[in-house]
Amino acid sequence: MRKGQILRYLAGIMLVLGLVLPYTQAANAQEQTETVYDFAGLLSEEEIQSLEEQVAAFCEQSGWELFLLTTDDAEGETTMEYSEEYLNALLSGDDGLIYTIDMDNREIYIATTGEPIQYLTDSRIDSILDDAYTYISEEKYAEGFQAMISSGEEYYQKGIPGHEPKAIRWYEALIAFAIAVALGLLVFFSIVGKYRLKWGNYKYDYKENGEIDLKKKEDHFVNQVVTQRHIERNTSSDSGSSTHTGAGGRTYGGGGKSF
Amino acid sequence: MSVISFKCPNCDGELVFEPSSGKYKCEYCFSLFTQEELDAMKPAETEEQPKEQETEQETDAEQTGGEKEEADGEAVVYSCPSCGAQIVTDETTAASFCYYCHNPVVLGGRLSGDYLPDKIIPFSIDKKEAEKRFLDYVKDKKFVPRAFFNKKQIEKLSGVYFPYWVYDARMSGNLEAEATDVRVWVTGDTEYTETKYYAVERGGDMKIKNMTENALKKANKKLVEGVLPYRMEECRKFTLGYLSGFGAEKRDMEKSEFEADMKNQAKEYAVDMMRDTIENYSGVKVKNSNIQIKNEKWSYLLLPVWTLTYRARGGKTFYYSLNGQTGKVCGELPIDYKKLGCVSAIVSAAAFVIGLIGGWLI
Repeated sequence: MRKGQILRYLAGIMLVLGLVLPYTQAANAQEQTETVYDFAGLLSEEEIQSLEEQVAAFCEQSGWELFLLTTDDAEGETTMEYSEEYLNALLSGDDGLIYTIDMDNREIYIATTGEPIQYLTDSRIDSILDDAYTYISEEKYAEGFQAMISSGEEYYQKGIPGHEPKAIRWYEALIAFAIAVALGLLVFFSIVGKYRLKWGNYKYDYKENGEIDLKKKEDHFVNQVVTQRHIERNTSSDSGSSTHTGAGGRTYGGGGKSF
Repeated sequence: MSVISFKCPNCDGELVFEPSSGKYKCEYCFSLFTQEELDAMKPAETEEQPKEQETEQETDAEQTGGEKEEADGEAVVYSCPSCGAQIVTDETTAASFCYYCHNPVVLGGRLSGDYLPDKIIPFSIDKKEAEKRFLDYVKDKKFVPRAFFNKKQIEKLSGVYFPYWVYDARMSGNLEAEATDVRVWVTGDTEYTETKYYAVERGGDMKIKNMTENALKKANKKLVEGVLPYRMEECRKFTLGYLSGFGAEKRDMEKSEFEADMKNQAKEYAVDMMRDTIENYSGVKVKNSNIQIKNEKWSYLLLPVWTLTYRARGGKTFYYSLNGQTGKVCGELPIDYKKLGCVSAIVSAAAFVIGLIGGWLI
């Protein structure tokens, strides 16, 4: 009975350690901050504070969980694996994403799971990474994160490509307005003109009053010209998001860029 | 030259042409007479007064260019065969009413010789019908101010035979054109446009008829040509009797004034007719055409027009014409700008909303 209890106790400790140990670093960090994990020490205290606020605002708006992560030791993993493991560990719901700056592999990485996969297609992730790259290559890490958060927000607002929320753009309203005004004026002046006998008057109709007796009717083929034109197919640049299954059995999307 | 009145053999009253029956009716004893019966009677005539004619002739000579043959027709004062009063007329008036006894008079001399009309279309719409047609026409117009037109404000409604020139022509000619046939198809990522060129020739005889021109200078060209077309197949041989009870004007424009225009126009129609026979192409470009007029006929016609003067409440006078055969109305209409503005605005607003919905859906 005691032996069994000890065994169970040990097994329980093993289980707890096994689960918790790899994330002790994360757990420590979580005590300080909830969303920004600066293991590589790239950010100042104030920068972390302001990034946290930005992240919180974005999370509230989108309903997703966003984390920022820096590391100088990827523990021999690729940036993708490392990011996905952290994302999986930190995520409380299903929809989340993580922006990682990995100084070990010298790579910026975005990992997405759940809803964000649909919003952040491969091409959008590339564009977010491009935005961040200019800063990060100049070692302005906080600005890099800021750029990533704001362009992520932009894409969230644009919606899922191909399913953008229906909206009337200003130029559409302008065109509609111009057509409407033109139509109104057309109605107005066509009636004024008609009432003032400016048009719509009698016109001799030669079809009704004329007769023709054709004596000669010849149609000769002369030549033919064929021209060709290449059709620019609008190959949608946003073909979608590539996904794979990773840590925690979740489906992840994402992409990275070396610096 | 004579002034003619058609007298009823029963009561010696005035006979007038009645559009609804096409017969001659005595306004006093209601007897009806056919054309044949009228032809058998001898109308009452009075000779014009030469002295009065002299005084007017000087002033009129300038306007008519002093043609000798016309000199006879220039008298503007006649005496009424019924009451003997003086009838003052325009130099083109061929039928009118005695100013004093209101009896119809026909100035036969004005429509004789060169001025004898080739054909006439008699009135088939009478005064009452004309009034009704006019009011119906106006009522149908949506943007005429409500209650603007009412019967009482029709100031003057008179039936007048106006002079017209009618031109018929037979032509022959040929035409050369380049026709193109365009076919577009897509294979893979390439769009092909095939254009086939054809040399097309047409030749033949063309006939055009009933090109009509106003032949009275003082007439409002827009109004008297606005009531065209007439059903020309209902033309009748001219007799003075048709004029009794109506006004009539003789022409003061000669065909030479229109000749060049009419011929060019006829040739254009001929080209159009030939061009219309080039069918089933995407595009036709006329390169060359040659038309000769083989045969032409000018007819001098009197056509029935009801002229209507309407004094609007604001004091503005509107003039209308109404085809005495078909009832077609022509004339400027007053516009209810408020209403028209509202409708235009509604159309605009509706188009704007539809446009926005379209923008939303795209």
